[in-house]
Amino acid sequence: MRRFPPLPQLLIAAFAAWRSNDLLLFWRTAPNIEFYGWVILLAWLFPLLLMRSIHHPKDQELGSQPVLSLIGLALVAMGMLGEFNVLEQIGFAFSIVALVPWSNFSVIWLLSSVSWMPAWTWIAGHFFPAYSFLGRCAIVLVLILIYGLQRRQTLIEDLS
Amino acid sequence: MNTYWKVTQWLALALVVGLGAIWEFYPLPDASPRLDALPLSGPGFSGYDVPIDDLEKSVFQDNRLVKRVYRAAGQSFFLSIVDGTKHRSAVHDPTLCFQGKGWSIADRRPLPLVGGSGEILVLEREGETMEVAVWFSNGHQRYSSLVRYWFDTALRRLTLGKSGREPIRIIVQPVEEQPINWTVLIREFYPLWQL
Repeated sequence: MRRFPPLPQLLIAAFAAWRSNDLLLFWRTAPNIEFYGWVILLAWLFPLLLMRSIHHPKDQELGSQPVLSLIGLALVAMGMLGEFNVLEQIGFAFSIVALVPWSNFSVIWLLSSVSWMPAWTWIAGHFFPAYSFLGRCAIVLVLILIYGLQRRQTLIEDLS
Repeated sequence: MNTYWKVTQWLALALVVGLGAIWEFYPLPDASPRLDALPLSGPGFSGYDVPIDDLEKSVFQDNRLVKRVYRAAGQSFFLSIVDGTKHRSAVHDPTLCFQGKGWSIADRRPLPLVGGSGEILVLEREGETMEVAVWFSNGHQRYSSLVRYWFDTALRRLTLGKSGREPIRIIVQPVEEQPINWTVLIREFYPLWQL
């Protein structure tokens, strides 16, 4: 059973992760609780670890999304050339979501990637600066909840 | 995944890595001439450099950062200038810096400048109020829009510097408790127009 995505896609995701290394500086120098932004990223990556590691009969031919991976690479390239970190981070998000088959959950997963981006601090700073980190936590918790409910529904359908 | 997609991905990755290497090593002219020309003293004003601390070195990395205290037109003020040529993403929204130090933005109003306008931020913290002025300047045009700064600097990098000079971020804030008279300062402290 294929467990790992194709090598070029893995390399694209690794390249996108490397180009997003400014996240480390952001977390290291962020004030107060924003320092724990790396925990939010790990939580956001949780569905990938589950989808690629849990054995399920229907997952035996677990594919991936080459087009999404190329879109991610294009975004990273634009961000790299124009020094737009947010584009590189969005590209990183695309390259990660591309490592599993497309589903409705993929859209939610992509949208929720804002939870670990420094751009969220800028957005929250304009509307609810005191609740920026709480907002991050809320987004990723909703993501995990939706993934859990979807997984539960899939298991019920398979067993019935 | 079929062979077509694999080959496409390999080629795309090689192209992007190659472009990245070219952009990384292409020397982009920075704003050093303008910053080096900023005088420490002159008719009607004097100033001194403020050391850059370890946190600032960590945040701004290899960007050029100038921190000075000046006295001009009977007022003392702190002048902070960042040239983001080497690492643009380290030049972030200045409001985040102040919010990180516990200030909240109570009000904003434009500050007319030669070649455009800046912005005066009215900050509040635990009953304390402070006004700071923020703008970006490429030496000819001055503006306060962060989005425009991102656009100008991204365009400059995409064109390898051909689109114009690097905008620098300028922050002016009071040193003493007395608020700054911006009209007088803008009129009397001419080095601001060299930046």
